[in-house]
Amino acid sequence: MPSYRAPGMDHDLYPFSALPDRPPLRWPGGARVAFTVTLYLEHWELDPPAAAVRDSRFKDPFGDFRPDYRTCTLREYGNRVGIFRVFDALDRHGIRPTVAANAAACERYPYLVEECLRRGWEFAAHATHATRMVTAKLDEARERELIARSVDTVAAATGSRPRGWVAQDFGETVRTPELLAEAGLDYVADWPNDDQPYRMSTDPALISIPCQAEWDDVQLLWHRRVFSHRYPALVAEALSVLHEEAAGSGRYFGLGLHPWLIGMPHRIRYLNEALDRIAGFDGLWQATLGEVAAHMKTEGAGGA
Amino acid sequence: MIRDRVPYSPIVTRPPLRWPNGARVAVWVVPNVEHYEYLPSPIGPRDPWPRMPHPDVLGYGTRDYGNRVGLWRMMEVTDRLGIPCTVSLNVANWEHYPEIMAAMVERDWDVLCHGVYNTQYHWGLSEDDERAIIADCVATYRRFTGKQLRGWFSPAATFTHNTPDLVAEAGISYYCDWYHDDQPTEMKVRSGRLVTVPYQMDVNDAMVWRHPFEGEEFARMITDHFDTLWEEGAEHGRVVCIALHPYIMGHPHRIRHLERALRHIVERDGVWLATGSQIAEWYLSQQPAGEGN
Repeated sequence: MPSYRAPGMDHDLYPFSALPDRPPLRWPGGARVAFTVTLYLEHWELDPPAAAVRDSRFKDPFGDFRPDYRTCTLREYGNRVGIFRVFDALDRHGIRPTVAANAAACERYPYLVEECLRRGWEFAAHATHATRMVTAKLDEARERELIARSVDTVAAATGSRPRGWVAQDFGETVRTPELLAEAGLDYVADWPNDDQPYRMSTDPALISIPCQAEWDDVQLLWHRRVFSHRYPALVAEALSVLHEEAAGSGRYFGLGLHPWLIGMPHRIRYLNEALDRIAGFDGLWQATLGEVAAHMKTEGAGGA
Repeated sequence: MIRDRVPYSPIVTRPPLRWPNGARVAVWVVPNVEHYEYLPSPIGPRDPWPRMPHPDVLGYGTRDYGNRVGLWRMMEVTDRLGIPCTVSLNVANWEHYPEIMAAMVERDWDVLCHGVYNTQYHWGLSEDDERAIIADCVATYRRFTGKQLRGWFSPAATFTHNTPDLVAEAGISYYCDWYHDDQPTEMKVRSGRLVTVPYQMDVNDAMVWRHPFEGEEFARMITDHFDTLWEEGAEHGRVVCIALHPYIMGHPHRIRHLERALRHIVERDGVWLATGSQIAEWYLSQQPAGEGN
């Protein structure tokens, strides 16, 4: 652990890097902005193990009671109904998302896995269950095992090994980046601290692809309760500024989509509208997370 | 207790306060440039990362964005508009990030000290412990700049009943934990002189961000706030404070709203774009000692 109150971060995970001080970042084909979509395929347990930790912000407005039919069944709605609206929106706009899949979701929703594979979409490992965050309560051996089970299950279900990791609810321990690198993954997409991907200090170097939680659908529309009808203008404004700034050095722009939320009838039109607006920008590289990471591995820039 | 520090004084019965060159309002723009610890310790009465067992990379990374990206984007705006900022600074930020210190020193930004880390809270500190932390901040700032620290805003707005006395004792001249007025007021302290400069916990992007408001609403709050104070400033000079966080308003989907609101202010006449130190100094120069309330 670096010493406190001395130059550098207060951890060893990555060095400090002010964005304007970095060498220019170049995307393939001279694109200005790399644009990704992360589609979440999750399983929320009705009866999680007693030791499971979930993001404390998901709870009944009157308290935390069991069984929680309300949350569990709304998530199920996402996988039964909502996701097909999201598929339509992505298909209509010709977008190739990266599917962040819980291991348990791969096992329980083979139909959905097949629908994604049929479209040629890439998968990322996304822990095991939506109800089991990775937190400091996991010891090293159990975290290593959870990562292995997540990666192996996605590999078995899809026929190819995922190249990266998207945490469940941004849940990490101090060891997570190191364990992901040890597991042979190329990238992690948990950190909301940048508008460009950057190298972490693990050996080999993981690429941290920022998760831009400010406009993640759950963070913006569920936790902060910003009106859904504002989503298209907000994300288009973010892209517009990033696109303008990218005249000097490439920027990254990612959307995170949860079928139980953005796939609701009253919200889906705003996803379509957002994607319409995004389609109006030139110079976008619509990539998967794996492609972004692969590019960063060969790119000299990126803040490390 | 409030009146032990600041006697009641209706703003309408005071002699008019005048700003330099007859300005109606003194405007100070205050970006909070902070460091929130990855693994804060010890954990006191408030858990900095209540979402989950630590670390919380969502909470930490959200703040880290301000230092890596948001601050620089916000600086382009304040540079373009020629706004002299007063940074509300966790002093550890400069210790961790010499690049940030250099950029602020180069711009000659005024420093309003905001404690050491924004994850070390002052509620419940003993008088000696709080005195030691304030002394540490004063010494750290002097080591970096050779100057005496002028302003104090307690870290994460956490404080004790002793705070005003302790900051005055440390040679600090203006104070921003109290929100009782649109004008500076002098505060009764055990020793020395201490003047409050109106800061904002309402026109503050951090308050907006906790609720379903976005850049557009915050920009509207800024211009409405400014317009009212500018009108009133014809009679009694007022202070307009815009409190910002680079990790919030420095995001791409918010920055143009901020620029539009700040442009509304800088293009108006009768505006004194000032720093916290300048406002405090001017106010004290207008008030005989002990009559500043």
